[in-house]
Amino acid sequence: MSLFSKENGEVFKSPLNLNNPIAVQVLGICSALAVTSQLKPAIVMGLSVTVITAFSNVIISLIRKTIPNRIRIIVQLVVVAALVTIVSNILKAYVYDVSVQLSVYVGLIITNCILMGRLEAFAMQNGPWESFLDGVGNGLGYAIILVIVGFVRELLGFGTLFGFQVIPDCCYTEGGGLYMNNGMMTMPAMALIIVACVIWVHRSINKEA
Amino acid sequence: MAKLNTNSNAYTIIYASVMVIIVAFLLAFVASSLKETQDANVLRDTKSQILASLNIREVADVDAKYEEVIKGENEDGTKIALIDGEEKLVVPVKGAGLWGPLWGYVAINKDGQTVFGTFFNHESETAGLGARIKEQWFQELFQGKKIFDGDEVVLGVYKKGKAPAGLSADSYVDAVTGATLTSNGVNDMIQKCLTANKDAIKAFRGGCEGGKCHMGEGECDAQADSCCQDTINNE
Repeated sequence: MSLFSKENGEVFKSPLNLNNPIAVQVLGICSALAVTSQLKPAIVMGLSVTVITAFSNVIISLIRKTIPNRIRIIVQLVVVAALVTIVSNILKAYVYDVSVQLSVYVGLIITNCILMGRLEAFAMQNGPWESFLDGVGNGLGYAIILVIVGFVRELLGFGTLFGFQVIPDCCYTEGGGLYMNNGMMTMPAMALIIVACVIWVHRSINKEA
Repeated sequence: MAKLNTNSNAYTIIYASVMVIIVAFLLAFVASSLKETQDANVLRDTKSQILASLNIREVADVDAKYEEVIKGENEDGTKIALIDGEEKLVVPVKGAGLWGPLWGYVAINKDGQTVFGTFFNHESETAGLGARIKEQWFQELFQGKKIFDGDEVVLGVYKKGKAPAGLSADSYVDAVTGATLTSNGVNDMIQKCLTANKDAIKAFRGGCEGGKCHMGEGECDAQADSCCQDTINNE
């Protein structure tokens, strides 16, 4: 079977849309609420989850035949935790600024349900390459939703994107205009409502899913 | 080859033990081989935070600049800096935010009353809300604010329109929108730590030590800090 066969393409693409971890499986919601009030942390979080899902999928897939069935969840957890710890150590040593910005969220990746979900549902039954694609696909599927939510929240909540002001001063009430930033958007509750809207739109487009 | 029974108790126990030992060695190896670089990063980061409180931000060579600016450290952890020929006192502050610790530095002018600059940082405040205390615009709000009213530390952070009646607008800044609890944490942190360092701030502003003023100008009587009073009045 070739590396880029149709099946493998499907493994990679389905979590981006029809089988999206957030929009369809409704996994990983908690972190989607916490880190999406601005775009930048949302993107960094999405990328970190992608990298860690991909590599923990590969490792579990390599050792899947040796894992005793009764302690498989513990083994998966140990692999994920070790990987997260190593990644966070490397970040601290070589890109200190980024690690400071991510702060507690790197550690929280351990508790992201998407990781355990993919390990249990996919990596335990499939080869390393397919598992790698599945991990990258699911990570990116998660990242897309985070970016959409982060975009809406930062634009309406702060009037900025990536920290740059996009709504001109003259539109604001202070500058004589009629516009005011929506403080509600900066609250975590609003992320839930936006995620719900994304799921709504997604389901009405993909009726068969 | 006979198929290994991966469900037997012995296999499970041995598997778990071996896994734990391998992971422990791996993590210990990674942590110890990276420790030196990490410690150097942390130290450099602390220095750059202290420099940030002195309004020196985004320097390329933090270590050299730190050597150049910071002139001494007192026993209580406060530091003396020299900026444009004028001494500043850097007071470290520590407190609690909504989710975790807050810390920072407050740089004070020679008059022992006016804030020269501040720097605040946090461990785990909400990104986009409480985390904004780390941003420059918030820290710059403090510049030029007055710390004391009489003998009491009044410098604080309050919601718009919620400052205590009678508090001069020179002595507080507006809280961060949507981050009331973190802002309260900053407020408590500043008041607690500056009050605790009140003596150090007074000593810095001037006063008598062996008949000589800290300010370096002239004699003074041993009873009161007349020199410092004079200096403040002159200004």
